[in-house]
Amino acid sequence: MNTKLPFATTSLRVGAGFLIWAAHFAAVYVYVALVCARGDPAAQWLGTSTTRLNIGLITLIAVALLGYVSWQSLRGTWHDDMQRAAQPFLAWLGAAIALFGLLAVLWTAMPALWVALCRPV
Amino acid sequence: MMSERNLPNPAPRPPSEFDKLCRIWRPPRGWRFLSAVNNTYIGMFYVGTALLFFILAGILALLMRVQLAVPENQFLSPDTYNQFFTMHGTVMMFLFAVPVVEAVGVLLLPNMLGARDLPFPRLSAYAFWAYFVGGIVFFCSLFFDVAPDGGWFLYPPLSSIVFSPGVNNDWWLLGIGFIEISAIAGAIELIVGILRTRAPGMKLSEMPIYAWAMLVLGGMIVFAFPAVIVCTLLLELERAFHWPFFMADKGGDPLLWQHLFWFFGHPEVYIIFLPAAGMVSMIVPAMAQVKLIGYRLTVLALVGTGFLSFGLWVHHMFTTGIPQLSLSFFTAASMAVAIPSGIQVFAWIATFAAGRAKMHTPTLFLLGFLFIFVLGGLTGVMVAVVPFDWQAHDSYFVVAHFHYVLIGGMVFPLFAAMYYWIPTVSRRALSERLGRWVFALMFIGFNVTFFPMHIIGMAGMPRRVYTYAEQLGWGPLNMLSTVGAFILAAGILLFLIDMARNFRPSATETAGNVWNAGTLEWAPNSVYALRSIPTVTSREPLWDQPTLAEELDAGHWYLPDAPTGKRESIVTHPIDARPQYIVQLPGPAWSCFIAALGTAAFFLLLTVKLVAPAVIGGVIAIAAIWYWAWTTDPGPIRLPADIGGGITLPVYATGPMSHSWWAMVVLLLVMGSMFMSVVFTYLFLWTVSPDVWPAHESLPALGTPITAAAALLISAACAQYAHTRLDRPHATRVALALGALTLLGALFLALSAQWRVGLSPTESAYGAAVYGMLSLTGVFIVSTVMMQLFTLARSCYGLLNAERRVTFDNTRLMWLYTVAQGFLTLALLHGFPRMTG
Repeated sequence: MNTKLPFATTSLRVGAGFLIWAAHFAAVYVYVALVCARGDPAAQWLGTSTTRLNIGLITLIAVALLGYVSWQSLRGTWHDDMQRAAQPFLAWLGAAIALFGLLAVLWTAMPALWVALCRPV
Repeated sequence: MMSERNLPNPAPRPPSEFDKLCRIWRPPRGWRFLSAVNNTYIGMFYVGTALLFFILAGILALLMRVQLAVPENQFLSPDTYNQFFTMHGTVMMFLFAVPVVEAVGVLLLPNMLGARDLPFPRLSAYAFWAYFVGGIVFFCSLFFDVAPDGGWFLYPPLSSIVFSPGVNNDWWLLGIGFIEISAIAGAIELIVGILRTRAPGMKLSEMPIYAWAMLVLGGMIVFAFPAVIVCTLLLELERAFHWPFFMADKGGDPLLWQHLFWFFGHPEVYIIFLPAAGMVSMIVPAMAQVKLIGYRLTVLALVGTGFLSFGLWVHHMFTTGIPQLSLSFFTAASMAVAIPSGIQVFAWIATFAAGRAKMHTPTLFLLGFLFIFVLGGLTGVMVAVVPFDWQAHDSYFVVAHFHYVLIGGMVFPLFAAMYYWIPTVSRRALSERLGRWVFALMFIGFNVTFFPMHIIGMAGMPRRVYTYAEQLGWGPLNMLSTVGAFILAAGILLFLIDMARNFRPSATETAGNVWNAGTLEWAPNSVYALRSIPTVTSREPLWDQPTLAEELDAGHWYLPDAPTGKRESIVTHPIDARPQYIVQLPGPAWSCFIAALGTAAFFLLLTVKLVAPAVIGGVIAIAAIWYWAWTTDPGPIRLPADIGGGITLPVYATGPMSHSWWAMVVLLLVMGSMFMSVVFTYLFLWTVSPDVWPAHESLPALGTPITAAAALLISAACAQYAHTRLDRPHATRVALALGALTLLGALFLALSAQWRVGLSPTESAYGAAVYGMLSLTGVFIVSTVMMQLFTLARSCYGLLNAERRVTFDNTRLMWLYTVAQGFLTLALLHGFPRMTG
């Protein structure tokens, strides 16, 4: 039975949900800042704002990653070694963080559906 | 009656063993007590000093309240008022709140985790003394009318040399920047202590919730504090040498300060709150005499808050003209963070409901905390809504909000914690009778002071005004606030009286487990912490193993003696807490004390432009740190030690198993965070001021940076070569020397490439950003070279070989990191302008 869990990879697995949330948050924030400061916020593709489409794309990637992590966590595939090492707590925590991260990404990105893009406030 | 179960050391222990343990852990006497490093003593010094600053900053608050009690008052001059509100906020945040949460951790965690001490006691002592001396001198700037006066977040351009030409704000920049280094040292100590010195069997799932909170706190400090250190350095460079990071006419931007400051500043709120929440999660179960409901969800909430808190900083900048959609992302994150806080609140309420809460003083403070913190949280959701924030920004509504959050979320839990945990370090518990009065006065006083501020703020009173006109009608509510402030102060004065009457600090005779709590800090302990170290199988071992306290005290568990004749603790695996080796802990020493004084002298004397004495202070600090470090790598000189139960452990570990490797990795994360802050600075300034970025033809030719990169590569190769040749001293020394020379050569080439094309750090924000990044990398290179020379010296003295190699391992980590940062610096400075130009 493998009872040795490497700390760094275990931490990354457990925290993957929040790390993806952080990467998504940074990406959409920096992207909007760059578009508004140096890009073309009025650009459109197929009648829809390119910026919003790109935010949607970034969000879709994050959701796909989080969905994968959540699914793997819930199935226990990823965390089998944690289970074997008598650490069901970490397996649970990884799954909960992934689900929390998924909700947080959707919630954070939601304003892109209707809030004005670069209007100075 | 002791149980019949298998104990590692079931036989009675010889009396001589106990005497030896006491002798080894005995603190120095008389004036030499200043060289004590044991967590119990340093923890008590630390908490005491933080409380001193709490009282001093509180006195400033009272004087401000006197000034504001009536309209058009002349009790304080505008300049004095500016210094008072700046120092009140600065001292409360930087000299009280952050230090006290770390201090309580230093004091409690080893006992709670079943360790004899934290893994780097001298680092704790260094961090404390640097903070103590720096803090006292910083505070004394008030008495010379040179205290900072630009507000606790010191926004430029007000704090720039143009509008604040005196040394006032230099005190803030150098004093606070340096005290944050002390906070980071404390965080490294706590992280490694929590992950590596837990009692055998104390898996992450069995770890006390307070340790989880402190682990999250440590992680947050590692990633948040570097941003404030970098922004203070940048502003000081601008003030002292006119590098225009924040000057709009040269391509700088004052908003850069706000981004960097609040990237630290908002997590800071949770850095203060999470440890307090951890304390609450420990006290509630003891008061209710039932296990915490929702342990797993509470851990999730702590980790979630830690992450989400890094996505909130712009909500302090809603009125700065940032694009509307960007603001909305931060509004969403600001609302989302209420959810993990809510989870914890429900966990505490459920735990109270599940047990039979006794109305002891800690319970009262916890109930007060719940009431006040929930109100502060609700107004927090209000100011997270952009249109509302536009109305409330910089008004007394915000003052009311953050005092509800900070005093409710941190001060009330801290008082609960003091009433709760003082019996672990004092011969007597504090008075229940006085405690109730303290609570009543503080609770009433707090609400009378701060609730009216919501109304005054909505009526339009801005924060930070030293007086107001009578016809505005703010007088009666301000008078009410002032009366409340004195009631609150009376509560704190009564607490001090209670302390004077009942607090009798002692590491050897304590009041004991007066609350019938279940965690290990309540087991009998002394200067050596627990007499023996148990196998932990649950979160409340004293509840689940009724005879455990007695067995521990009788030395029937692990490590009842000191097999190496030195101070020791057991180092365990970070996840499942398997025993891995015995660490020899350093004892009392003057080196860390002198190093702290030297460090403080360096920074504080620079503030008043006494450069030569400052340099002497810096040299003393470096010499003391060298002397201190010289004794910290004892090598595998002893046979494995028997800790009982048939377990023998090595007394030395190298590579990733070593606790010092872990500390080094955490330090590298800090350095990486600093570098990322400088990268952000460069990219942010490019975003706002492309006009000061050079054209292709003005950039240095690629030959020199490529040569610099080659030098870095050779240096890295030297590191790897020495790594595999430590058994050959001569080869090791050549590799260390060549590695140092090539690093310095790379730095010289990188700087000369910019200088030769005529780039000056003062001419534009671009020049400032380039030299700022090179300066940071240069500081890391010089630090690495000093470590290489130190390692070289140890090799020359025969203290380095293939087995005795912890010093080299640490140097190599720093070395390789610096090389990696060097590559990134060169790539960014020479690649980015070519890509975007």
